[in-house]
Amino acid sequence: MSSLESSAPSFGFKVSASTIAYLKLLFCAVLSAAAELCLKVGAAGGGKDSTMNFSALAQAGTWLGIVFFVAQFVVWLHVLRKTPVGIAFAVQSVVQLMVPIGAWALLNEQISAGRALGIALVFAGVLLAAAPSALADERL
Amino acid sequence: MSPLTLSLCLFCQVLIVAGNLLLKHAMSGTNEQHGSPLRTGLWLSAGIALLALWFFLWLGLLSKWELSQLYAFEGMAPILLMVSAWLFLGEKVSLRGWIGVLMIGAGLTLVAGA
Repeated sequence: MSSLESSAPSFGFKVSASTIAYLKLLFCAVLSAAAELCLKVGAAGGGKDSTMNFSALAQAGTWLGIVFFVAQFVVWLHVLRKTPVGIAFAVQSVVQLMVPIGAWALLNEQISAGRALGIALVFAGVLLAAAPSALADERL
Repeated sequence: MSPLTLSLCLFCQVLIVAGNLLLKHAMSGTNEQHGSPLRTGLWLSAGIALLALWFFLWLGLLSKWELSQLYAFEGMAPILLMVSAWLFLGEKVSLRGWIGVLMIGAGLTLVAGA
């Protein structure tokens, strides 16, 4: 069996190319969420002096957010080399669920029945659309 | 919501879709052995330009409208992107992919509206 199946390190077991693509996408989603969170903290820390919130630039959170944002973009471009953009973008939709789920888990905020149904639908859709075999279709 | 705001919201979704199609086209080129870095750079810049335009347009809309109203449009983006990647880039989409992306679109709209 060839050990050159994928370029990623294998820890005694074989990691398929599609699983790696999946993990990279997940990493991308986490970076996105981190960027948004930091930007929000930075924007709230600055004053509300005008419509263009320039004072946010004096906040460390804003710059950390920008770093996360750039990192996310680089990983996203890397993912796009091999993964179909339709599937990759669909998987990124989980970022929009992180805020309501985080608010529920950490801040004990209520989630309405409609919103809970929406969250379940998105997760089911991501699992259906981005099952590892689908990501592997474009493997070279 | 006025017709102008409505069309700006739709235009935002078109920008996201077109921007990501250009990024994908640029990055696909890096897999080819005779791919030219100049070409990749040009497609990449075009994609980044569209996404930058989207960003500032979106900020402008956010300052005038409720987040929940604007986010109702977000559900369209994954569906539009999958359809246009299939049309313009020839990406193969399985039946599971189509059903999945429809569920994601419906789910995002529910999350925003509920």
